[in-house]
Amino acid sequence: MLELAGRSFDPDALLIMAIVNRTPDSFYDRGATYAFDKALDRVAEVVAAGAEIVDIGGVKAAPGDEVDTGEEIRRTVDFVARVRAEFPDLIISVDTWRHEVGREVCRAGADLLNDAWGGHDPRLAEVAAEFDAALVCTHAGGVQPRTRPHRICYDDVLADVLSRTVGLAERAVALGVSRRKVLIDPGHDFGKNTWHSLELTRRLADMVATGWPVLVSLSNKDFVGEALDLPLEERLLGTLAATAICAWQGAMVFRAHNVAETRQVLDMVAAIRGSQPPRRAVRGLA
Amino acid sequence: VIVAVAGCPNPPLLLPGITGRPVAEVEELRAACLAAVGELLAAAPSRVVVVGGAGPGEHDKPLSVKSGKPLSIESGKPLSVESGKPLSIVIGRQLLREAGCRLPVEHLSVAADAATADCLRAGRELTGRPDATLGLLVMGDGSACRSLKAPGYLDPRAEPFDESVRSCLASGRLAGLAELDAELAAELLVAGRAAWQVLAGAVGESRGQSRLHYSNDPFGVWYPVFSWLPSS
Repeated sequence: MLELAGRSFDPDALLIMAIVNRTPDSFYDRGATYAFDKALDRVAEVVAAGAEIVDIGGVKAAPGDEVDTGEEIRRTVDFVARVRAEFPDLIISVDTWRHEVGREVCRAGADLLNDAWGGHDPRLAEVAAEFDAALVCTHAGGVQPRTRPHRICYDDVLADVLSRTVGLAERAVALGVSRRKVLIDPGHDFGKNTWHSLELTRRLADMVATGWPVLVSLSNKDFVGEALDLPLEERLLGTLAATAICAWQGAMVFRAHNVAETRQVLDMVAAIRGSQPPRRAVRGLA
Repeated sequence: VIVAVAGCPNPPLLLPGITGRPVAEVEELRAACLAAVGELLAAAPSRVVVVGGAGPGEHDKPLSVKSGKPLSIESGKPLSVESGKPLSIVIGRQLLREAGCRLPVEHLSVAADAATADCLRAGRELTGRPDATLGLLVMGDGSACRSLKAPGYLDPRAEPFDESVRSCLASGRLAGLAELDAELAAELLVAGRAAWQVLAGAVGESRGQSRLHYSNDPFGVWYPVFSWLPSS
């Protein structure tokens, strides 16, 4: 059972966490929603397309211009407050590794802290506990935030992912984060080459078997691009294939750029799985 | 003696939950069926007999519509429908349940290809029973050949055939159903012919007042819903 913003979700729920970047330089949208109003429009758009969660980010993941704590707060906190006011039922996540940012966005109404850099700042989990917020515990291979993987090796990438994410999750609970508010994320592409990310996708069921709700962040990433040798703008179909595979194995939350398409794939998986009825079954029944 | 008749079609679509989420055309049809069944029950028969056609082998096999995992919308739980009875009877009983029927319910299934004379005789035997005031729920739908996308493709004979049924039902002259051509009905995939002819045998030349609650073909199959009360 997962609990976010006061709502409970069964293990067969399939939730979309829509990416909303308040950055001038993120890899997919390239600053399209950097402006406050554009980002707000994006929130309305993804909610209409079926997202339950928005993940607001103020720092691009890849290396680039320095964004210090003050600037990250400037980009995220007022925006979170505005989204909270305009969309009272929306689950608001903030993508940050810094506890100072975490504290300010929780004050502004964030429900979830998406710690995509694998617990780099150990105090972020303390902030989640302090504000009774939810927390995503991600595997990033122990690398520094905003670095690219370089010749990273694992004896067994899945074993490393399981021990690190479950370790982070247990630590968060020990610090006071509600057990029902912790998710784990294998961290596709973070501290990993394409072989690693493909293997984790293939073996995702083992992560689900830990009992922690699993979030996957697959959207238009390099492992999709390399699997298919396709540039950024042609990775949607590969992303959706990976989405279906992860959903089938039990992932619950899908961090995504392309919300409407992802919703359709997840609804189809739910219909195949039998956890959601078809919308309109009349064929052969007249 | 027959105190009231209701007639409803019996597509699997009327089984609860089988469409997945509710489908507007089906819910409109269901509402019409429940209105007709409501009139039947309002006539206060001492028991209800569901009359329906049975396809080949339908008597002894579980319903194929039970396979898969249809869900009921409210509860999210798998459907439980009666098995081992013809679809027409199952749907008739289901409609009676949905309409809140608390009366004893019997059923009479007739082979869908039964000869007209046999159907008429079965109907006469029904009314020959001295013990009860009966309400008949007659399950049947018309041709399945009314459009290019219909289950049986478009057949130009379909509309005139259905119209002949419709005029009997609407006028209250149910005896006219005895005239339906069994062979043509089979070619047009008419699932109601045998049951309607049982009805014709049961009612005979009695006069009554009919009400047509529904007459449409949203999926290429003609669905009539009617109620009939004998003239006093």
